[in-house]
Amino acid sequence: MTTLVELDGAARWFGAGHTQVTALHPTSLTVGAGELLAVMGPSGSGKTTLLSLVGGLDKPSAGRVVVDGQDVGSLKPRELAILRRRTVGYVFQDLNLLAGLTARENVAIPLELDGRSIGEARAAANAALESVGLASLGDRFPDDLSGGEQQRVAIARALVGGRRILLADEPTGALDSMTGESVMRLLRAHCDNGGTAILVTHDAAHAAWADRVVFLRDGRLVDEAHPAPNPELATTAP
Amino acid sequence: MAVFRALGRVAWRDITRHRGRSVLVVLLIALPVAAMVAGIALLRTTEPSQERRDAEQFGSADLIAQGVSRADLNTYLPSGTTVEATFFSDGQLLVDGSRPSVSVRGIDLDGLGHGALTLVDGRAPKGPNEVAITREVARLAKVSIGGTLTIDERPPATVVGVVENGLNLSDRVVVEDPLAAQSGDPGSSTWLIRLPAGSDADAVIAQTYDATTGQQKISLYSRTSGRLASVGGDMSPAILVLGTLALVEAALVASAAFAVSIRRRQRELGLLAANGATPRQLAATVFEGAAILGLIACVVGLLGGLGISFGISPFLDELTQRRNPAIMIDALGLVGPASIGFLAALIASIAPARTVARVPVLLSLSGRRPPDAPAHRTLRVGLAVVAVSVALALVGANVRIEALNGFRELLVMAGAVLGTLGFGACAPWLLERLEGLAVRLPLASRIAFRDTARARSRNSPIVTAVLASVAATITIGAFTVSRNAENAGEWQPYLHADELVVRGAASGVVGRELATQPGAIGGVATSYLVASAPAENVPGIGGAGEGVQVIGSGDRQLTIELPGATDPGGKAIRWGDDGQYVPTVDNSSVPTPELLAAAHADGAKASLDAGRIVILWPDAIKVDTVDVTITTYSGAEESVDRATYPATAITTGITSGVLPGALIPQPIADELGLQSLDAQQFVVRYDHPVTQVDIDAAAVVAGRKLDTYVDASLGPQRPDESFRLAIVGLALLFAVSVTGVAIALGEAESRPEQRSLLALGAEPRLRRRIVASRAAVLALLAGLLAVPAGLLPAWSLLASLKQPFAVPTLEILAAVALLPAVAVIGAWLLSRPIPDWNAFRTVRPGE
Amino acid sequence: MSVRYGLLALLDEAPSHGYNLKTAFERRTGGSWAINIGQVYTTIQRLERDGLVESLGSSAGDDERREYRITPAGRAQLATWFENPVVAEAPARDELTIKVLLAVAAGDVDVTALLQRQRRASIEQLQAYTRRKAKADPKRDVAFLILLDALIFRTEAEIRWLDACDARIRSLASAAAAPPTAGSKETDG
Repeated sequence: MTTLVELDGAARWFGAGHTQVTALHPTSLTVGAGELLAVMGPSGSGKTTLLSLVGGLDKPSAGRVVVDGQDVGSLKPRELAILRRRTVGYVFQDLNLLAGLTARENVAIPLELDGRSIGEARAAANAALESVGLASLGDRFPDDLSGGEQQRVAIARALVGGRRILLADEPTGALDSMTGESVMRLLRAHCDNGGTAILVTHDAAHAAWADRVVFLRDGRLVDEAHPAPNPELATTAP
Repeated sequence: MAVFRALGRVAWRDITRHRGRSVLVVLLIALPVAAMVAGIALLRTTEPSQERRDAEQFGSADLIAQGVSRADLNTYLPSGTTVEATFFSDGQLLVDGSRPSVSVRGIDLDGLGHGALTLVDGRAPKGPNEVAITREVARLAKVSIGGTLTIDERPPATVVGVVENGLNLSDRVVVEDPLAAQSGDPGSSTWLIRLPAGSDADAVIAQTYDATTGQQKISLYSRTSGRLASVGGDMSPAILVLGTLALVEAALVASAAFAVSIRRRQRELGLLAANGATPRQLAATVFEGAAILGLIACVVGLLGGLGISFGISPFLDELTQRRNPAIMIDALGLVGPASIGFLAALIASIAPARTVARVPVLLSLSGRRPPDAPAHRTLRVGLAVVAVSVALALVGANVRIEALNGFRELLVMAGAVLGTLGFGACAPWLLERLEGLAVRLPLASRIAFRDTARARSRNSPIVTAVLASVAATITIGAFTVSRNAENAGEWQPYLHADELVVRGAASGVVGRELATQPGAIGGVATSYLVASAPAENVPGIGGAGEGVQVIGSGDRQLTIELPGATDPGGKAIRWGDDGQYVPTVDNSSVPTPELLAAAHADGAKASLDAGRIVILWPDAIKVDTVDVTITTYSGAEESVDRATYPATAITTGITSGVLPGALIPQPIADELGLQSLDAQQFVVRYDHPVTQVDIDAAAVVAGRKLDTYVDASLGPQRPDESFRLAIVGLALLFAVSVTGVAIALGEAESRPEQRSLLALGAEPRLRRRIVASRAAVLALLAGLLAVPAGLLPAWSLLASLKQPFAVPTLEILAAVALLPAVAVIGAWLLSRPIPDWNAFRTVRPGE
Repeated sequence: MSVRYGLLALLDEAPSHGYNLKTAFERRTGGSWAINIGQVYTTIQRLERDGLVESLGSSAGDDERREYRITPAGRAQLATWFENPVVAEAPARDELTIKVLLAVAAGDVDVTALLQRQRRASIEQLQAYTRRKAKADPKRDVAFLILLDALIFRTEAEIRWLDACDARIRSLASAAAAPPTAGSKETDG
């Protein structure tokens, strides 16, 4: 299995001296191609910090974060921006989409930022929308889409242009369980096709879609779960 | 009441919780209030009072008499009257290299002249050889107290004092002792008269009228009787219109601000509604919020306006070239703008309050943007309003009904305000159209266009506000330009713009030296043709040292008549009131290549070679032949020799004088026995239009030679130019501030989008591109709409005054190019890139 | 209880014999609930004793071949069962609850570690359910999916209960350690 994301003693703290706050203690972790990793933990445990390090939105204070072979800590701001448009895709809990742009234009943003022609970017966006089952809604504006549809557009945007690493921060937080499940199925399908996704969530039912669940607590990785090999569905009939 | 208190608390909490945005809203309302306060204070301060205008003319006298002898005057004056002579004349200051004009006033600064001019240093001149001068004269003549200066042919005078004209600090005045005056004919003196205490000036005036004819027998007038029909005395319609415009402006801007805050509070208001608040109560919270912010904004605006006024006051004298009193502030100038601002805030909250009361609760709770009103509806309203405004303007301009006379300007002004609003009402539709265009634009501009179009109900008032201020500038500009054009129409230069002339004894030497200096590209000593040799007939012709223009010679005068001249339309050109005279040219030269170049008449060469006389005419003219006439005077007899020659005319745009009005080929000159004389003038040509700098530099060179000076034809003075620039500057400042605050308000909403863009790999400076594009859309739209909105009232008002209309290029350029450019550059410079990721860590819905 | 009503429901559709009932029951419950044939016969005999089903008596004496059908009384009881909600027995008496309660009381057990071990186990269980859910066909396997949902939500509830225990113990600990340590800068982990 190819390693796509690697944290090697990566840590992140803010401030210095008395006011120093450590969001993430030195942490090591690898995520391979085809793997869906869920990160669980209570509020303030460092989940989002971990995700923003992998997403190239923030740099580690110590240690290394390697994403698709690139050491995030050594990249210049411009190179980080390029990493975010070409290698990783981000999905937030809410307010993902630019209200002024249509669904298709939203999906095309990373490609346009990357300097592709508008026509090329739109064609790719159409393909991405189709892959999330929204081919017919490309001309709608975000305000005219349901929450689940908006999230699926956000996923299409995170994947457009053949990106393999998808980072999702509570992507199902504002959705009902069935809509949330449809979003999780998309993530699962992405990983089953050889992609990688890291999902930050506090929702166990959604974390359970992952191949592996890691637990963060006070900025430390404390545990890891793999699916039980042969689950009993029910035990006794009374 | 308890309910209202609770809602008021909600409004107040909302204001304090979103302090940054509240500050912007306050600024939007405070800006016009501050502008009004400062405008009124500065206007009142700089507008000279009638007393000061009178004092400039009368000094401390009660009456002024003109063109009457002292003896005649005395018969009308009661005993005990003080009478002092005073006179006005013009003179030329003899300065090295130039001859600036000055006013020469004989006035007793210690006597009745006290107050007309203020002695700021030294003492009043006494006796024939003393003068007091203004600072401007001191600067020109480079003298101070104790120095000497010379005016025309008079003996040099010692400077003993410095005076100042409080109403015109750059005035060039030389004051002489009126009793020892060198000039001034006693018979045509002007008299300053101080009546004994208790006399009634107007009673004295009354007895100068002939009871039967009703004519005034001598020219005698008092402060009141001499006053012209009061200029700008009745400012009320203007203030009314400007006040209305300010109110509209403030309300527009404020309504945009409230629309933003309502949009932001939509969910909260929805929650209130869900918990049983009635639509009326919801509207009330909006009103209360508006009232609180309006009140704060008024205080801020008042303080800001006062700050601007007092901040500018140290520079006011320099700016206006006047001695201004301390900043004058009256209650009306404060209460008026403050009430307008407060009222505007309340008016501005009407629309948002109605929206709040109407939006369905569920839509409010969803947090989605309520749909904007269809743009085509406001477009129809806007076009209708524009049509009404055109109608009003046309009525104001053309109706010749006496009863309407007083209202004509008001009608046109009302048309202007309506027009501005009407064009503003077209903005939503145009914004919607722009959104359609956005599809092909690059990402940043597309985002900006779409956002602007989506928030059109908020952006349209901003566009209208900017449009109003820019349109007003264009209107003022159109007036100024039209007036200047009218003045300029009567004025023609006597030299081309890239030339100056050296006159006097050493003109040749100085001119040749100047012609070789950097920037100069040559020159020519001018000469003129005369009909006979000067040496034989008229001693002193050629006037060495005189600097006098000599047209003919002795008793034989050369004139070229143009009987066949027609204008381009084929109409014969004739001079004189009854068109009884044939146009003539008095000065002619034999062409040389240098002269042709100086006359900008290189195209004449072919005609000259073909033996044709070339007429250099300021305007377009057509001639085929001219008559060269030589008139011989012999005692009372005169005989005319006339010869007709083929001729061609060239349009030069300048009057003849320094340069010849006709070029006569050498063979014809020889045939007629004409002789060429040195005109003692040298025309220097430059590779650029001559500026005051060139003239000053040339004057330094000329100043080294005796009696030689330089001159150029720089055109009529345009006193309105700096005023115009100041207006454009202020309008731009206002427009850019409003645009800027509006954009800042929009930006505050876009935080989540910035986060998304950052995560998607946008480089942080993308935000600056978006902000700059937003500024461009708003400013460009406002600028483009302002052009018709501004030209329309100016055109109709000028038409009503039967004055020509000229297009104010400067203002239009400022509106469509400079404003967008400044807005974009300003937005670029003031906007920040998308902040560091960690700034978004607390972003949550609703923020 | 539910096997009894399950068989009753099956017989309400059509008369059937013991072995068919067993396979139908297992299919209906998504293959998740294996019952042995003996349990089926015992239950049917009880139903017959109570007059809720009756034997068709065609192949008398041969238990395996004997067919049964539902009686009107059986239909009435089945209808009553469907109409009444299921109320869980009030006090939780499962092992996990007891274990956590005892661990908290004991004081010398690392409750946090215990909770995390349990959480991991539950999540792993949940992952396994989810995996099967992911493979299921949402059209054909509706019953199976509904069953899985039941299990998933139950396990999820357990995990949420574990989280709540954890949070309670944490707040107890931080209240004990005065002054409270400076909060993290972030609002979410």
